[in-house]
Amino acid sequence: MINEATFNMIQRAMDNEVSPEELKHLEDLCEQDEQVRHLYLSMKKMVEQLEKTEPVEPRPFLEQKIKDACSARSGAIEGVSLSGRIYQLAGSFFTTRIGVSFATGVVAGLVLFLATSSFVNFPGDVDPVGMSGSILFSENEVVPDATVRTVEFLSATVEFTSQVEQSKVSLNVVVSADQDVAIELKYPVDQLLFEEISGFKASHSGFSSSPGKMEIHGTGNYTVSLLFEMTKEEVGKLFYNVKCDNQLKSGSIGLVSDSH
Amino acid sequence: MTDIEDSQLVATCLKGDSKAFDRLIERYQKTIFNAAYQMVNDFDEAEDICQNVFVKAYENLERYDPQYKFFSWIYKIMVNEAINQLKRRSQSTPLDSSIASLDKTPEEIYRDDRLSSQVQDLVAELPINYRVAIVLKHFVSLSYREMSFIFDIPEKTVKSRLYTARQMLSRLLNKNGIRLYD
Repeated sequence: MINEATFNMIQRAMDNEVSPEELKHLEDLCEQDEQVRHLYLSMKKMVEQLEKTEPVEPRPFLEQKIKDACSARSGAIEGVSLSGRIYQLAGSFFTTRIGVSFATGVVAGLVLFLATSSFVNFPGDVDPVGMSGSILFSENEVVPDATVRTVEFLSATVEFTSQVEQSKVSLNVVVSADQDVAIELKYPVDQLLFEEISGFKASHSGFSSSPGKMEIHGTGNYTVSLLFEMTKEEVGKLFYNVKCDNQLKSGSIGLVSDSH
Repeated sequence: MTDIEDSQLVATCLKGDSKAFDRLIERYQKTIFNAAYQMVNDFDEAEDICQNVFVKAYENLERYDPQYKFFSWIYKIMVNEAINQLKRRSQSTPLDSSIASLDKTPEEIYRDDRLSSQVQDLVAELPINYRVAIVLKHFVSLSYREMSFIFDIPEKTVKSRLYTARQMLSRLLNKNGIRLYD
């Protein structure tokens, strides 16, 4: 099995981030270990293939279409600014309560119009232009087809994060344990496409997988990444049993409620 | 001729000269289209995304923070637009694959003949966050720092995500019997 240091060195080699000494060391490892050689060559060729992908030409009219769309928006933006200016102007003239109420009503109507028009995003969309905040892929991302299950014990925390996209479900299990924690994952047979463990210390932990089931136990901090082929509805078939501190906690990782 | 800096064009546009934004469209529309295409694997959707990116950038130009590169900002918009598009697509009825295969365009047939296109097709099989990492690093050649800004996560996490994405892709290639070297 390839250790984490070698795996990371191969990955850094793909980004040309290894020193000449490290590269020499990697070459030596490739000569000594067939698994390392296979991973290195596969990665290298794969990255070469990715980077030689020919660019696709958009249709020639796209550029003008975009310019026209922006130009059309220019009018809408100016329209909104004009409304703001009218409000300011009205504010200076409508000094009576009625005048202010009228101006406020006009603005409220405009806000309502904007909120129901194409100016707003598709429901559930992330804010595409935000410079910070609710951008997808932040560490605490919340997306409609994602769930986070946190199982806590006195001496361990296990977090299951699942994300569904079309027929793929990615699951990350992040373990932080001072005492031995035993995790059992159950899933529909033959639907596991990928598994990877990082930060796992083999000296005091164990891992085994068989069709439809995976068992992991150990202490420390480690992450298990899994990729399944299944539909959103089938996510309910993903179950966990976690044992620690002489306690057993069980539940569904997907969209079905926990049954602790 | 010296290229005018992006930030200068943005400033000019904000002062009321909308033609300055045309220069930015000319400069980036092809790369934005291409990155979108790699993410959604659909020509028409990529064009729509590309158009939406520039319209949203234009509408929100005042929110652009010049301490970041303009292209990083529009890539960020593009990534989120592509994700939103994929989410919408997953909510709609999937296209029957047998019907889809009968209607292949000459462009698709040409692409099918090439190894890199097989790799490209498998990139489209990856979950969104891993797919985006591959596209930004290997198709768009962004740095980890730029990707960190786009994803809003630390560089170390970006690396870890890309490492996993490459590993996943490699496994998918093996699973599909695609051998990359002899």
